[in-house]
Amino acid sequence: MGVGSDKRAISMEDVLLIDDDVELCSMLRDYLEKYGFRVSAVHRGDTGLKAALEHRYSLVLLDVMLPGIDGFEILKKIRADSAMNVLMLTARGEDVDRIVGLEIGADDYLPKPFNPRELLARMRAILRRTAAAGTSNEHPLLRVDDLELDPAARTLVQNGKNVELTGVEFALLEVLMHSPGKIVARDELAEEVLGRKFNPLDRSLDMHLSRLRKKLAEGSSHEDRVKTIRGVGYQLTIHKNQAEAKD
Amino acid sequence: MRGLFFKIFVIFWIAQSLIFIISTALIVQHRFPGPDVLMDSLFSILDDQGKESVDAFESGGCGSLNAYSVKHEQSIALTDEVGNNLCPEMPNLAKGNGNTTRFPGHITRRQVGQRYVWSVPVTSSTNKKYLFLLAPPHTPPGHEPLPDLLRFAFPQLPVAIAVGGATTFVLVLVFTRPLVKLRRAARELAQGNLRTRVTEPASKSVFFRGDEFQALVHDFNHMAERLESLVGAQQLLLRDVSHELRSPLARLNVALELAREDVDPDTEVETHLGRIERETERLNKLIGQLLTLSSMEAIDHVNSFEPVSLNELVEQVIPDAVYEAQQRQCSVTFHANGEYVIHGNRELLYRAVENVLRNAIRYTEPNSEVKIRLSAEPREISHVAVLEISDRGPGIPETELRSIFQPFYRVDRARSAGTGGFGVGLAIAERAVKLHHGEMRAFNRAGGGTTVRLQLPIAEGNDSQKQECRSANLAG
Repeated sequence: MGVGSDKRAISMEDVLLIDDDVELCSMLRDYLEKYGFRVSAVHRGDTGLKAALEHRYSLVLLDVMLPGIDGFEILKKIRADSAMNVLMLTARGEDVDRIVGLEIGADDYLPKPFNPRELLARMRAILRRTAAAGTSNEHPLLRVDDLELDPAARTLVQNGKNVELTGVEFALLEVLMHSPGKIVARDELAEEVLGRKFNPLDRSLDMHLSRLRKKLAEGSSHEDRVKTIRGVGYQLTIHKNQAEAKD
Repeated sequence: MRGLFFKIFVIFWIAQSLIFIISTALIVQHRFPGPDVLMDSLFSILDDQGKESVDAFESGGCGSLNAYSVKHEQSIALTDEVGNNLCPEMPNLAKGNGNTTRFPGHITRRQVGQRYVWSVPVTSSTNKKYLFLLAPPHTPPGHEPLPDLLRFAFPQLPVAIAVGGATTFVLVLVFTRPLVKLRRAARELAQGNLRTRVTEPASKSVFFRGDEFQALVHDFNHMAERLESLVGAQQLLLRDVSHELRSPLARLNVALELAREDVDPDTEVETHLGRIERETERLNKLIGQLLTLSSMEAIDHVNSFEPVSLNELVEQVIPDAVYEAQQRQCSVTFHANGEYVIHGNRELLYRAVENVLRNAIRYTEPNSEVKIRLSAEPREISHVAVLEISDRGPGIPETELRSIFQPFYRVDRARSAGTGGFGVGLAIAERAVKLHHGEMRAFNRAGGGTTVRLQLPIAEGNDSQKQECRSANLAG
């Protein structure tokens, strides 16, 4: 395997693993620590939520079925508070789980049982998006209509108000704002934002975009900023002309 | 069921009506003797009168005959053998032509104007031959059997036919209604809706309670209940086992990866670990498919239907499948007769098409072609989209064509062991198609191979949606 070469290539990241399978947790910890993650494992929902709120982790790996409170409740409580990266570990065959998870605002999901290499790839894709913030000082501020996105500070300002976005939502909007008014192919978007090939069965993009749409609609009079072009991709609409006409 | 209804109805109604008509006819015949009986008595009267008048003529001549005629208030005449009137002062009844009807014993009846003239040959006691002619004063009404029957049956016959029809109708309803219900339920059950029950009518009357049909309905429901609980138990078992297998498999995956980390990639151990990984991956896939199938069997309808373009869907499925096809040196072609949009769940439909296509690629001969054809066919109310996926594989025995959609069903265990399937894919596909109110069938192709045919009802009245799809495709 070629993965051995990039061991410890990235700086230590704090990861919280909330899963009731104690043995799995201990093995995953061993595995992930080889790749430079510092893993804290918690086996109950309630204590897991407490740990997630107390400490700022780079990433939370969250199982759905948990004693105490379930994964969705934990995600809801985390999202009420912060845009912390969350990867849901859903049960294979429970298609509803992953849709609900993405709706509540999980950054990604992985059906169990999973291949640990796949988990590693997903974790890295999520962290790369966040990590891009520190290193992308040269990226200029992006402005489309009333939206002002700062890739360096990872902030979005809409009509002077701060909009809190999760990592995926931010990355999505960033890609779309680079080419406003143009259609961005979903294959391109999937690869750039989710870090994997587009799969027609995977509704992640749609879910993230619908959350993004909702957030953008809250602070704006424009309806439906992000248009879905069925079967092709997505498009950030420009309303500048209308705005100028009103002025 | 209409057939049985009409058969019983028509037969019973005809039978009842015939019984009435025949019995009426018998009564009429009994009360009014037939023409033979009538004629016989008429002839004997004619004979007697002939003899009496010949006696009167021989004993007293024409005067006596005339007296006889006046006495009986009848117009009579007597001629000799060749027809010469013996008493000229009496009316010549031998004259005049008309329709002559002959009766046995040389008796004839001739119609002259409105009257009938009967002629009877009479031989007197002196052995002289005469012809006795009699013209009855008025024409008696002819007894025609059919008008008679109608006249005597008039008020009763329509009433009888109507009442017979009504009672037969009710009788047939009593028979066929429960049969129709039972048949509908049996069909539903056969289509996999195991929750089907026949409603047992809460009849208040003692007449309907506890008859054989009721017992049959009761037994049917009992059977359906058993079936449902058995199938349910089987599905639950499959699902629970799959669920429970997930945790150890998840641990196995991580343990395997940990082991690989510690092993030098060039050793033999690595080869073994590689094999373990492949088998784990297979197990993973199998469990994934089983869980997909059982979750699909647990739902009986899908809420999240949206317009889905089948053309687009097939074009999405093909790229992944082509990779597998290339490894087997076969090709995949897609031909569509038009753009078909159906109302459905994209994910389920994708799974259905993907599984059928993968199956076709798995079984087709190397260097052959897997054909996908998309067209539409008219049905009673609307159109259905027909997606046919044909391979050049070994084919399926005719008797097993219906069974291949059962999970884990293998046509030829020895041969399919190496193909890498689990026998769950087609079951998933069929379930998905059923959830879309469609139909899936397999049949053998002429020249070898199998065609799997997916029929899905086309969404009506979404032309705008179609156009959107088309424009999107153009943009892409």
